[in-house]
Amino acid sequence: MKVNRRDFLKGMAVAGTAAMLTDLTVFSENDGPVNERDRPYDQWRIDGAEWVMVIDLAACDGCVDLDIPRCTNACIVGHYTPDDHLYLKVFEVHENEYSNTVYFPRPCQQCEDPPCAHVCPVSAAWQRDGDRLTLIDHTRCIGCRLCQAACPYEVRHFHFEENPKGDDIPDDKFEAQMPFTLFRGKGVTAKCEFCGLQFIGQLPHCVSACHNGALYFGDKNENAVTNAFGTTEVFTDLLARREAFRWKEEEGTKPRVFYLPASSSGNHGHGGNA
Amino acid sequence: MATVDAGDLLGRDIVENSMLKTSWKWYATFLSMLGLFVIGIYNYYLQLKFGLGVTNLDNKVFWGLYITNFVFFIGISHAGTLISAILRVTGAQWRTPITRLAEEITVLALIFGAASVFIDMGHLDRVMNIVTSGNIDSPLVWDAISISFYFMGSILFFYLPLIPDLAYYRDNLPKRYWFRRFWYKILAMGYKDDEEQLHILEKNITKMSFLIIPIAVSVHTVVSFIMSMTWRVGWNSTLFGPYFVVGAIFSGLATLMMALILFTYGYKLDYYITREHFVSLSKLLLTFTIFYVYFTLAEYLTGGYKSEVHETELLHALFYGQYAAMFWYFIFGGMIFPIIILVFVIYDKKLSDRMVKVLIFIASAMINVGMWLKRYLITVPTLARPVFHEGWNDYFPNKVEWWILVGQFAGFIMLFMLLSKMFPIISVWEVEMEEEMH
Ligand code: SF4
Ligand code: SF4
Ligand code: SF4
Repeated sequence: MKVNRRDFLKGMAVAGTAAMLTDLTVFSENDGPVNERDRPYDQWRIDGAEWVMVIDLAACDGCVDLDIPRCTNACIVGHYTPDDHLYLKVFEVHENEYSNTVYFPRPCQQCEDPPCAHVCPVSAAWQRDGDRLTLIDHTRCIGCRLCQAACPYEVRHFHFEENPKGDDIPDDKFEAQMPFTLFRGKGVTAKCEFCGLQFIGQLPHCVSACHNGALYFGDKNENAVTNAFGTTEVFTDLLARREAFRWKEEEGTKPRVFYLPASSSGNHGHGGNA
Repeated sequence: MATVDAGDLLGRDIVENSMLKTSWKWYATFLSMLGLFVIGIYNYYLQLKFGLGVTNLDNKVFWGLYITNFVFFIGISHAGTLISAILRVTGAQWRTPITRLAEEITVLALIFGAASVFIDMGHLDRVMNIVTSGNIDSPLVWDAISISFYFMGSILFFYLPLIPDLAYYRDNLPKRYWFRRFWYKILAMGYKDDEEQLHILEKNITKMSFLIIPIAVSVHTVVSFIMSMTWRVGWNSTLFGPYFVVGAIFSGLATLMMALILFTYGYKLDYYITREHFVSLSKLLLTFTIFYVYFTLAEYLTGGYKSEVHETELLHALFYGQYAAMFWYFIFGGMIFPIIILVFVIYDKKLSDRMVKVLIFIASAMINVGMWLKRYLITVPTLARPVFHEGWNDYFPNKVEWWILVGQFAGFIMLFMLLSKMFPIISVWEVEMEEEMH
């Protein structure tokens, strides 16, 4: 009998250690946050590209003539998102009593070093290889919302309810995953994923919709960005000429969305550090 | 309980009574808890069916009551294992009659803590993804690992000291309890009360005590990391790990006190659990209250002094704004008044035994309410604070969330009552050994 019990106690120790090792091996299969296995959007990818957006705050008038800004609306319509899920939200910012009102559009900043991907327990929020876009795998997300807590720009949205427009999404679009971010169902996060329209030779919905051409989109490695008017600018020149800034530089996220200040004197840190 | 006159019972008889004789009061309490639990389940079913949209959570305040519960329950889980392990390791003799209850609290609180996260998840059906595609960089995965270890450890730690008691009842219960005897026989695993076996058992219990302490500390540390690994104002704090651990032991002790008093009352355990125990535990609780006051001061003072805009905004909402009532309850009801009561209990020898228990119960209940509110105040205001000029979010939990909370607490009490019927609530063999030694 005493052998039994001794064995049992030893067994428990062995089982505990084994469980720990199994856990570790399972987890160590992943090489960092990137885990490429049956990933969505994989057919839409140009390796070596690096997508960027430039937002000209001097040109954006906040579409005050409309209830919903044109860019926001184009995004909602284009992705069949619920009306209150603004993947691109335009804020009215009035920094202090000396500054003018500025309209500040906020898409996902497509961070080079995205905190959302670091914290996701299942790598459903991940930054893919190739063009290093930060995307969301809606079939893997467990809906814990840790990524929402981690994103310094609060651009991630949780689908609390069934997407009421889910049935409106044409099946062919849904299956082709074009544009990105088409979503039916509930209980997962979603956000701006830079549309994916670039892979079929178009500008993102929001960029095409801007009546002032305030939004530019392009490939950093081609050093060119284009707005709704078809004006193409040399990316680096535009940034230098207009003293571009990135939002919350201090977070170390290295956004790939660049803001051109509303006034030429430079307007660094616009939008605050909130 | 009422039907059993424990007045003249001594030692084992009390424990046997508590296990084997069940009064109508017990059934009444149990059934009402079961009822509340079922209502909670029904509300969870609604949430499962229609999505988390049935709660008041939204895209701004995406964590609310459930995450509060998560931190709270994982917190009180530190009652048991940690406290009983620390007391074992430090050789505090008076601990023996209270360890069993403490260990039971741990196991149950962990179950409901983990359940809180599951309830909060948008896709519970995919929970296994954490194992199959786990990302070791994620604080939530650290939580999963650490909490599963703690859970396994606490079950072992609850089980090992149970073996001699199980063996005793396997051999000494009357024949008509064949069902219990059958299970005790399996669970006691052939334990015989001889020197050698006892020695091995005690050695392993001691080993477990040493092992479980660092695991327990890691658990509440990584729970805090879910928040403090982010940039958010109010969470972005290096103090969070230790602050949470101390808070956990603090609220765990308070819960243990409440359970002890209720069980002493219900099962007439005064023979085992005397005023001396309550006073000793009060001293421990007082110490941790003071620790917690210190940490709270350190946290808010360093945040407030610099008057950094965002931090100030948050503190204003806590001190004078929409959260002020909860905040000041937490400060006074959760810490200051309990300190006064506990000091009184410890130093006023003239108090009757009954009064001591009543006062401690009040203090512990106040602490627990305060600590629950504190977790709410950690979770919600940080998320409700506007990023731009959006205004504060006015999240407040709705009916579904409250019912789920009620269901969880009812479930906790219900399982606790069940456990007390399944296993002796006092580690009788340890108490007896101690009596022999004296
Ligand atoms: S909500 Fe989904 S995407 Fe976000 S961290 Fe959780 S599992 Fe990852
Ligand atoms: S802005 Fe937020 S969601 Fe977008 S990549 Fe950065 S951290 Fe992720
Ligand atoms: S890039 Fe596409 S997904 Fe992103 S905000 Fe614009 S329209 Fe929406």
